[in-house]
Amino acid sequence: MPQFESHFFSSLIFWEILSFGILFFLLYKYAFPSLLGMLEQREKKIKDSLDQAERHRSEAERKLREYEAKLAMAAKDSEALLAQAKERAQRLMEENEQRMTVDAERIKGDATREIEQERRKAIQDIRSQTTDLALMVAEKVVGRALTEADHRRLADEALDALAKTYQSRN
Amino acid sequence: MPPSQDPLYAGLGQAVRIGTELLAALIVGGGLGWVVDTYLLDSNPWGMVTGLGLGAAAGVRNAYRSAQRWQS
Amino acid sequence: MEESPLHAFELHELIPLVPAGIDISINKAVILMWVVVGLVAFLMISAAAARKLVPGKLQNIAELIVEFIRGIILDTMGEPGMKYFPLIATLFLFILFANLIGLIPGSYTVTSQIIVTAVFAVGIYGLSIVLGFSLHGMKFLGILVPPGTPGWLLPLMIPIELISQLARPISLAVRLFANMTAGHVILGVLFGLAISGGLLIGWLPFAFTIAMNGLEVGIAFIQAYIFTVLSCVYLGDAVTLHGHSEHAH
Repeated sequence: MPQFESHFFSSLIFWEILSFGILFFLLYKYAFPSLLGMLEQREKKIKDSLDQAERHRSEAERKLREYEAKLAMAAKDSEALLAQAKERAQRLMEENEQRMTVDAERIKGDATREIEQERRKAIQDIRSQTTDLALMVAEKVVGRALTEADHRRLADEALDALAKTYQSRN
Repeated sequence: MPPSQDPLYAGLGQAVRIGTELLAALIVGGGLGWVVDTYLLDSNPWGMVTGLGLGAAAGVRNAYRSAQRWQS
Repeated sequence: MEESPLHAFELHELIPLVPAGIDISINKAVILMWVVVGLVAFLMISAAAARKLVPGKLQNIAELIVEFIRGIILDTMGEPGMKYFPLIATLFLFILFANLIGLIPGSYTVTSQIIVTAVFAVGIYGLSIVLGFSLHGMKFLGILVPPGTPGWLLPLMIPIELISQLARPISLAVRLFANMTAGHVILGVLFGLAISGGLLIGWLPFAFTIAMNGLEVGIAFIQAYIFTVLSCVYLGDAVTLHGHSEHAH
């Protein structure tokens, strides 16, 4: 194989090292920094826009959560309000009923008392009238005028007897 | 493996590699054995036999290792 | 002149140059090295100078290459490996363009010279050894002991590891040289057949030549890629010293 002819080795080694060195220097100095920079810049831009998208997404999510929380709070608020109103209405109704019962009781009591009073008065009236009547009758029967005091006593005795009979009959 | 690498080329590369890996290890093993035989111990041909054996082992080991590397 | 398909690899002194007893004469391979350097430098530097936000075609190719090499480095060595980006990228570009330019009929494939690939391989491997010792001191010798080796196996494992280490630059150099040579031999034979076959059946090998050329472009890429990846792996092993244990499991 001609490639094993060592005659050319020295010149090949020399020129290979030299040209590789020159190429390395040129690329190291003038090509790689800029090319790698461009690559990194582009990757950074892609990463940045990805990050931004992520930020936007999380922002939107946060807002959604916030809104949902607000909505839930509003629902709870309105529920509480409704319950409160219901309770108040219930209380009012109960109060009304109670007051009305009390009123009715009072009215009933008043009426009972009044009736009782009237009855007593009526009984008193009847009593005094009956006494007068009895007196008149007695005067006529006895034919003599008794003293006023006698009259009264007699009448009262009669009336008491009358009342007793009346009461026992009732 | 770079993600841009075509699996076909990777496989081809692997196939091409392993043969040379074995050959190179055999050359080195045999060569070292020969050196021991001729210049150090005058143990012809046992140095070379041992060297070739070790070279074969090293070649298989290298091939196995590179196969593992390509797999991961 | 068609006695051997290998004659295409023969070199002839074009300009004799022997300063201080060292022969550095100019030959075809040397001129092709210059062409590679000029072409790569022109492509990359003009792409870098364009610096447009919306890249042109040239800039696109250059950025693609840069991104590709960065991917290789990050995959094999991680973020700290970016320190070696200029070296790895120059290596990849030099080999790739040497491989590709060699495909043009009448030119010369620099990488089909064993000495050229050997200089690259020994250089990179030597650098990895120097880096390993300067970063880890004598602890770097631990690279010869795979983690988890039982003590009684050490007398066997150390020679095996030593051989596999020494085989690294050799396999690196031989692989690139052999692939480039073989491809060109096949291309040369087919092309020779096409020329000598005449019009009647000459088109058949000619069609093959074209198909083979396509394949050769692929091989040119793959070989440059493999050389670069392995260079990164070797450098990475030396820099981290954990490359071993990582792949042992």
